Amino acid sequence: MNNPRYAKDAALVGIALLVIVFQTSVVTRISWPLNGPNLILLLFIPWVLSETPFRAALIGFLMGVFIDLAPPGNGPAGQWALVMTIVGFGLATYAESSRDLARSPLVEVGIFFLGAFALLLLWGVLGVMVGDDRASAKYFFQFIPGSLLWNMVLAPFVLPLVRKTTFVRRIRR
Amino acid sequence: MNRDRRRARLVLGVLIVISLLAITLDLRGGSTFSGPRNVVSSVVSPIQRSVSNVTRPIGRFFSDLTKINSNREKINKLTQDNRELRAKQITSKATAGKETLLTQMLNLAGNAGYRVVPAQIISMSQSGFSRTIGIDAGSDSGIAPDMTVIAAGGLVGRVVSVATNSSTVLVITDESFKVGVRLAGTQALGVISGRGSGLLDLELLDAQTEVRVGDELVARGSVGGKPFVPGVPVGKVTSVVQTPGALTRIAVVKPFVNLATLDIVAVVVSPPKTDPRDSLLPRPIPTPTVTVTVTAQPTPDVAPTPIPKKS
Repeated sequence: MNNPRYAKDAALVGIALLVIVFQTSVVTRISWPLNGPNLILLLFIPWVLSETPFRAALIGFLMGVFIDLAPPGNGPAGQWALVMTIVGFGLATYAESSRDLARSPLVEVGIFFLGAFALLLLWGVLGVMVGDDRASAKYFFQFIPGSLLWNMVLAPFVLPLVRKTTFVRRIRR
Repeated sequence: MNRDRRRARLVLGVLIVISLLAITLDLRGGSTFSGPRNVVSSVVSPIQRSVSNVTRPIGRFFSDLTKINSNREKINKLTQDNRELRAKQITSKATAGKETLLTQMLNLAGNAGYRVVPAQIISMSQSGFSRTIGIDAGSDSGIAPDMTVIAAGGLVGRVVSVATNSSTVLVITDESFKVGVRLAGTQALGVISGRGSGLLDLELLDAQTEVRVGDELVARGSVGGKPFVPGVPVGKVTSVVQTPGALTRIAVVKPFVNLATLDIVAVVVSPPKTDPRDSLLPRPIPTPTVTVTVTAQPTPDVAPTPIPKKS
């Protein structure tokens, strides 16, 4: 409704695009043991936790479309968009219904874990449904656990940072 | 609040439908999304490229960090491979050198019609009075005492003793070594004997024979080809000793074979049917005649201006 809010939104969109680019061109290029962290999840999940379900679904959709269309993406367009829309909406709805719960650091990490797991699993299930080769047994039994492990290691440091960046959104309406 | 929630659900449904539509459209294999993909790609690719260019060293560092163990193994393996390849290279270089020598030697033997057994020098004795070499071929290979031993250049010596798989060769420079020779191109006969040094003494039987520096000598050949088959090049006269009044003429001969660098020799196991005469001597290298043509260009005359001297 006022200018600072839109400025903040624009900044967050810029950050999100940068994170996606950084993830696809730097992080995935490093050969981590057990697949390495996913910065997109580390930004997306805490971000939507401090948004309304409406905005969270929109954010998820837009980020997903960008991931789907940005260069390394070769799956069907809309795969990430669908998954991130659903997970974004779900997480935001949960965070709204139990607002004070989400502010405990331990619960926050726990929710992050569930959200990340749901997102990766949903992506894989959708991949299996549409016959995506990348959604193989290796993805489910090696990539998902490894990715979750790395993200859980980084979560305690990254989540508070993202929460502080997006905090203004909590004082809404 | 309620209105918000309804709006959110509506948006969720719309977005899901759009996503599913997109997935379906894209999976149908049409080019629906190639346009949007191109647009996004043309915007994002340069950014990705520059970002990864900037961060590549860091990325490599981390990649290396996660692969320290396998990298170490790789380094060890490469070092090992390198060492082996280097050793192989040295061996192959040596083999190539040997091959040339062997070819030259076999050419010599082939031209003469000798049947030879090639052998490698495995030992060498230069101490004391006798100069002998050990070779790695013996009676197994059909070698018998008093056979002629040659190398790429010419005569090396004769076999003095034979074991099953090795033999000893008395070298041409040994002081007890004597071989009857013929002055190439003439019928003048002589005897060459070793000096114990790198050179040989030539004694010509006829004191009237003209012998000049540069004259070449070939082995005369013994009865039955033992100990010397005929026609083997022996050496070249380097100086003639003037001995007026003596019955024989003396000259110093340098052997064709460089015994210091000898590596492969051949034992002549059967002499040629006919005497090869002088055909085995190294062909003279034609001396190039240098003609220098000088083209002089007339330079414009510059008259030297007399410098007026001040008195």
